[in-house]
Amino acid sequence: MRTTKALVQVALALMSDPAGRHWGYELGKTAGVRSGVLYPMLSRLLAEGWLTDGWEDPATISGRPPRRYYELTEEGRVRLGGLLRQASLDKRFTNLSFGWS
Amino acid sequence: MAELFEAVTSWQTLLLVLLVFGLAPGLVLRGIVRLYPKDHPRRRELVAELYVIPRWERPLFVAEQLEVGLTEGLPERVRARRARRRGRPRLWPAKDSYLTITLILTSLITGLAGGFLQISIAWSIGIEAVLMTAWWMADSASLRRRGRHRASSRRR
Repeated sequence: MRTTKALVQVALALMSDPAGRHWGYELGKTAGVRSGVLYPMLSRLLAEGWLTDGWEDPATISGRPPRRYYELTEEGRVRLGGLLRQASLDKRFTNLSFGWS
Repeated sequence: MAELFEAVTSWQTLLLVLLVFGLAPGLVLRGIVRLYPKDHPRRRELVAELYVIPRWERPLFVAEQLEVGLTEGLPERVRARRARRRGRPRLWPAKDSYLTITLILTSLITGLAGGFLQISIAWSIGIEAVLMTAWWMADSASLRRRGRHRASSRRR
């Protein structure tokens, strides 16, 4: 997968809570990525096996349809962690905050 | 100032606000998600996301989803349709082939050459209707045959 700025931003948002559930809209807001870029990227991450998805339990919500969530797989954590380490050394992404730098 | 106040508080403005922030986003988004294939999870996902977004952001969110639908949904729909067609035997090649177009154009040109525009349009519509009906009948007959064939092979 090509390392683009959008991918790095999404990876940062996902890795901010590696064990948590992520929702499409909130992920887009946190990462600062448009839906037109985010959703195809999520599909690719799912196809690569870096993410898994699921649906909210309808019993836990009321007044709205259940949302789809995304979770990082073990492979996804490793791969995105590696991608972020590489990106932190890349000149193209110097304006992004990687947390540890 | 009074005119401005009147314009803001008028029933037309109220109706417009209700339409833009209340009714339209859901309706339009449901139309947009139809660009995806029928069983695609994004159809449910995008509609579900709409209801957690603050109302004032919904029109913009829906507008953004048009881009998603066109760049992701439409190609997937085309791919799914192609895959479906590949698995189906083609009985009547005229549905989306050059034959229909050629017949319609021929009838139009012939009619126009004779100076009968209305007659030529009527002819082309007639030919199109006949071809579509023939294709549909052949297609449904083939589906019935395949259903019977599958049922008999399962019994065996």
